[in-house]
Amino acid sequence: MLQKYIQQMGIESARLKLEWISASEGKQFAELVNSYTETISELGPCKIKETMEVLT
Amino acid sequence: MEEQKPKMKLAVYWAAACGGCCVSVLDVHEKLFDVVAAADIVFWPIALDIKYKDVEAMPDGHIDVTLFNGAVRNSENEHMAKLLRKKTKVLVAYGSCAHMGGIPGLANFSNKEAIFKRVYEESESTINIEKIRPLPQYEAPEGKLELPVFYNDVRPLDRVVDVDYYLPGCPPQTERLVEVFMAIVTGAQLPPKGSVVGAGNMAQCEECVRKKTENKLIRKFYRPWEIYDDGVTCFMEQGVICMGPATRSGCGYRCIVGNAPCRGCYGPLSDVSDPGTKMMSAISSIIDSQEPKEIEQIIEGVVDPAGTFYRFSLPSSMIRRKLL
Repeated sequence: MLQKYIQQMGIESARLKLEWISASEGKQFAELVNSYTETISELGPCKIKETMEVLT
Repeated sequence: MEEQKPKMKLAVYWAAACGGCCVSVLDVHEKLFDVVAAADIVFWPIALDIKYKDVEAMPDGHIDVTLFNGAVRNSENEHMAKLLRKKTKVLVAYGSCAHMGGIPGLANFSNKEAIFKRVYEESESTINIEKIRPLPQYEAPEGKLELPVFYNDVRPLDRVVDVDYYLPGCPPQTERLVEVFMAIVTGAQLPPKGSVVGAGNMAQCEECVRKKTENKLIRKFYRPWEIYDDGVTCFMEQGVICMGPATRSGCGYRCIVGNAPCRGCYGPLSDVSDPGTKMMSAISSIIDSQEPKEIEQIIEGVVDPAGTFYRFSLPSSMIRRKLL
């Protein structure tokens, strides 16, 4: 639902990720955070702030 | 002769609004006599021929109470908001548009250019070969003509000026207005500045008399026209989205009485800043499935989440406009 909403608001869907990882799965957690950090760095900064300023 | 207590000075103004708020003020009917017995209406464009320059000529703080309805969408709205703030002791954001942006606030899914293109070029009923657009200034042979500047963003009143009270609703329930007005006139203890007045502080569901069970599980969402409402059972339990759980009471759930689900015009409860996310979390928790594919399919039934959950509150929500 949140995915659908943020896309309507013009925010890239890749910026929101939902995963379930148990407390015992440390490795999976580390891997996920690393790969997701990469995804986000590739996307670069979100343009939300400038858009808000330009359009106001 | 007994000296009369000075009458209160009351103003009502409309900015980006449909006029329904002003009509809700007129709906006080014969109580209007009580109102005018206690107050002089010094400015009310829908009913009285008092010009902007007359307001400009008033000393600062001259007006006791202004009911400001409508959002701020153009330079005229902004000018009047600032002017009335200066001239008024108690400024009330009256109705959903002034409170949260309201229906005009849905224009924040778009911007000025896109709106003008649609309205002045593309709409089915428009023939405008020269693609003429309204100009803020125009030199006519008779003199200079001016129009307000249209903004990209629609803003609720409190993003433009300081607001003393909020009276929610689309339009506010007239009885609530009379109660608030009488409280001011009789000098009752007023709530702290920034309060929402003329509304309850519990969810619509607490007041709503539709039959509710604990069985709030949804396997399919229906739009109101897709289902025969039995007139008795909670809308949510029938799979129809009703904003009741995330909406402040006070209207007497009049939409539900009219067999239409709540659309959320009274806005969120006082401890909630963003009504849409609250509603999304409420709805997501009652989807009756564990299968990601199936969940996705059920959510497909919510055709327009942003427009449904922020129908009246987009400009005052966390992400107050679409990023373009």
